[in-house]
Amino acid sequence: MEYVIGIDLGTTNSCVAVVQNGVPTVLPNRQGYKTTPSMIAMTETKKRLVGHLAKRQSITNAEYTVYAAKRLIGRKWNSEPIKQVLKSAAYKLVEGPHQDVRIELRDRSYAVPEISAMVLSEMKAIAEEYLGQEVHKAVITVPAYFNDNQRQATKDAGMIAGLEVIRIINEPTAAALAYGFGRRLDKQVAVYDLGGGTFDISVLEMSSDGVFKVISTAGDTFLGGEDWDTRIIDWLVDGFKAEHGVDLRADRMALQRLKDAAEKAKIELSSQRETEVNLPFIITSGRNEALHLQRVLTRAEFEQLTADLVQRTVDIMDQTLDDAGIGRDEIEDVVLVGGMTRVPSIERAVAQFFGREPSKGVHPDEVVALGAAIQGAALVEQGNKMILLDVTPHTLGVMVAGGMMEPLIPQNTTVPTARTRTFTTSRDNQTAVKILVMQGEHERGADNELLGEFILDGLRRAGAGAVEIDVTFEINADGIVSVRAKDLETGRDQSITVAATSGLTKDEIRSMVEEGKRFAVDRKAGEEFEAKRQEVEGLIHEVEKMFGPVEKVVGSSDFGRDALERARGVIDRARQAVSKKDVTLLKEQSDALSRTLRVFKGVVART
Amino acid sequence: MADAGHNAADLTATERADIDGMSMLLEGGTLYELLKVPDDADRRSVRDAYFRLSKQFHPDAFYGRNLGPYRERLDTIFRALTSAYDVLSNKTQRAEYDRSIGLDPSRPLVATAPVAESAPTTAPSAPLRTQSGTQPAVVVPPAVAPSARDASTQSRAIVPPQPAQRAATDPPARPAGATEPTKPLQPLQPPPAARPMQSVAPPSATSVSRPAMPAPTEEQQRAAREALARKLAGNRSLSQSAMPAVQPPVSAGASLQSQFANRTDIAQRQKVDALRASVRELVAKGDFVGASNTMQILRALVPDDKSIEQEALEVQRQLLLQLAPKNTEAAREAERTRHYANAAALWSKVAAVKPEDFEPNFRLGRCLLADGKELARAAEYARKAISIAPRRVDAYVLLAEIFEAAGKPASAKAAAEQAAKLDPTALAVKDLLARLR
Ligand SMILES: Nc1ncnc2c1ncn2[C@@H]1O[C@H](COP(=O)(O)OP(=O)(O)O)[C@@H](O)[C@H]1O
Ligand SMILES: [Mg+2]
Repeated sequence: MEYVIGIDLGTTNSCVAVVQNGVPTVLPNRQGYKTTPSMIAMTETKKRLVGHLAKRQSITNAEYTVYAAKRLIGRKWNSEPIKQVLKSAAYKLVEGPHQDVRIELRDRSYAVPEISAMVLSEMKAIAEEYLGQEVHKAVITVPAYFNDNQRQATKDAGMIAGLEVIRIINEPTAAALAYGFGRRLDKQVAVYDLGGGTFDISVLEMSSDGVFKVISTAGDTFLGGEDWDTRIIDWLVDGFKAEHGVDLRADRMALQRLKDAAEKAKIELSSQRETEVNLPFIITSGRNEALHLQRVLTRAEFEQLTADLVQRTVDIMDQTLDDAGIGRDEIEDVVLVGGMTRVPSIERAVAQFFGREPSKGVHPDEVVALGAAIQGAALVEQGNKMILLDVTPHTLGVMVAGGMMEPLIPQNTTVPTARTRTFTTSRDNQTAVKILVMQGEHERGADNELLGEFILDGLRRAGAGAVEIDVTFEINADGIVSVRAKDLETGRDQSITVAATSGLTKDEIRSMVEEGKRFAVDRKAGEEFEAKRQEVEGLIHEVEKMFGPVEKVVGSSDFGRDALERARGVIDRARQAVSKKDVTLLKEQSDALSRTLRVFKGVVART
Repeated sequence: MADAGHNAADLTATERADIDGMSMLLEGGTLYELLKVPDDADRRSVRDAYFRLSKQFHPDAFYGRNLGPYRERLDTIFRALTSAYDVLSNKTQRAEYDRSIGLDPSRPLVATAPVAESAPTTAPSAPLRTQSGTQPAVVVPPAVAPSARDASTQSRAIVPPQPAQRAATDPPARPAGATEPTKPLQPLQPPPAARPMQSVAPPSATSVSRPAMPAPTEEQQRAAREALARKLAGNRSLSQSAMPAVQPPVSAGASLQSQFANRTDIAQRQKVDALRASVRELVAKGDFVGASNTMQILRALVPDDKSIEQEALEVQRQLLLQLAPKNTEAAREAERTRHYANAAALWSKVAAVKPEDFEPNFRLGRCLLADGKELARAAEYARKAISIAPRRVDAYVLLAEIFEAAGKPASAKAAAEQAAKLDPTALAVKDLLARLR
């Protein structure tokens, strides 16, 4: 059976799940953890590390360790978010050939989708190892506020990783799916998702027959765990400066250690009332003496430092409910998602806001991947058990004269959907119009994301406003936007499918797919061989151990001696297969060894 | 509708009929008829109706299938359903719409049972306008749907930029029939009120919700069921032997025979036979719950019959096997919600019939550890898990943790070292060793 895996490609951590025999399950990685850091690194010897392995060496190899690539994906080089990241990232960002962002690692520069693809490949490998078969299809989640470019780039990343991304769904929606799965709930619920870098809030309605409808979704792209960490860093740095007159910010290594310590402290304060930050030899003073940082942070102090951040999430929730025309008391359950929701002051604030304790039934780190897997299974399995009515998170429109954006499909419209609106020419004798497809909530066109553009020409020469053009926007169930403009007089039309704007050309993606494939094949063969080798060596050892006892039993018989001889042959061939590094051969020999071992055990047991 | 397309589409006749029928409903009818609710349905009933129809007509319900010309039709249907729902679920918009079709917006609304899909739609219907021209059929509900009105009435100048003043923002929702601002494009005027029109036949075929997917173990279960049925059938001579006026048994069942010989109660024998027959029947049908219950009665009737006891055990085993997927699911849920004792009980049911499976044994061990009451048993299952999958690091880690919890650091360390042998890089192992040191 063909599995569709669900991947929560997080800013900080990623998680993979699958529905097996109707049961959604999160798949642990080789280290036994259910989430994998969304980090990759390139070692000095140009070895690629992903996940825990990358994280473990991140302090010593900061320059070549990439984290939070999700903040970069699908963004233009000169966009505000990239400028923000440039300020703090330890790895090197450069501008790519399409105003996109590239990351310099040791051997070459990588496009952001390539980096994300490395994480996705890892998740794919985890699933394949668990399922014992290849996986080709995936549902990947993205934050609800992701625009089309970011979604497209995420899809590209999947493609580079060798996955057919059958659907991109919103993280909070996925969380709600997992929450409601198999429980026949008839409820209106809010999903509060605070992760490492982002905040998302969604309201959904679910019915007992398996329909999930997103009512409203909103969030803040730049509000997450890192901001809480930064508050702690500031507090430590300021305190240190007051004490020693030294600014730790100037030292990259020190800052990296502070970041680590701050996050650790934050996490500890989720279960303890106070925590000690202890960083010996953090820096040397002007007089060349080693300075140590040691301070105790109480939970109360921490809460004070971050109260306004918590309040920001509350304000966004308030606004979202208002916009959707839903009262707080109409929310029948609240689902908490993301590592940050373990912070007591956050849980408290949410409980207070809704006047009810959040749901305890779901695991904040796993629920998104589970939901993605559930949606994947629901799509490919016949039987129509569940339908997700998702919305478009951003307004879509066209740029009109005066540089304003004219909305066609408002935010939170259920998809698939289509809207048509009539526009006119703006100048006398204008024979062509340029349709600029925009996405975003700003009135000024330029403040929004440009998704694509095309020209409709051959218009009749006439006075301004005398030629009419119908513009139709369509979003299909896959979330693909297409736009068509039509000259009503001549019937001429032009259209685009907004798809290829992830900052990579099709050719580039193709070559990255090839490289990714090569990489995957390489590694897989290696891994498989290694696993088999271990197994075979274990078996050889066991069989050899039994030679003595078996000989005792059957050594007096010709047949017995023959059998022993044959067993020796099996062992020899297995050893040869190991030295030849031939996986297929190794598999055969492993089977032969198992059979031999079984026979030997049988012989000995019967005596 | 395009006949040529019928062959191209990968749809059953029923599905086609549903989609065609629904498409026809779009052409004429009120929004209430479209959603198949009475016009005094309350918001919740409207929602339920919309959800029910979405489940049937959302394009995802046909994911991965070649729909040919039906693809577009389906999209159109779903959009129409959604815009109908958007109007009827919004107080103001619904009031406007009601007025436009001559309903009193202040009438009381009631919760309704869903209208049976096979029942003919009531009330005469007004045609729903579709946009003219060669546009794809974007369905415009009569009157209010704001998108539709926008589409028809607003004109905007498109770049190249010119200091042309931007038209005033969209007018607020207006009742149908209100005059539209004059625009170059002739506006789509909604019909002023519902016009009687012959009612449209509802989709001919009733949609039947499909049964849940059979568990993948179905095949095995059927095989097991048949095997057991054969086994029980093979015993027939035994039970027949108990019947009066039948020849003495030719084979086996000596104990049973003597037992029955001691009992003179023929009625009871007949009852036992009847029960055994019904067990066979139930097993053949795959109803192990029923079979197991019947076995209970049988065992109470003939308490010391070894062969019945054997059969009962087998039936019980089959029952657990059949329930294994459900128990697995329930066990996982219990684990998720941290009801470990409960989860352990469920896993042990699964493990009993799946002694070769890693998961139930492993998880049982883990739940017993988490529950903390039966550590010895936990260790037993951790060991079982290890013997099933001797190369799984997590099983050794579990065993080590159990020993650790039981206050046996030396054993814990030994197990942890086993784990380290298998995978020295695993973080969980490192943590464990560090802790034990
Ligand atoms: N126990 C905890 N207490 C407080 N914060 C935590 C805890 N566990 C994880 N976090 C924080 O949660 C964030 C990661 O959340 P996650 O949901 O994994 O993020 P993302 O979805 O962005 O990948 C990080 O900022 C991390 O420090
Ligand atoms: Mg997340």
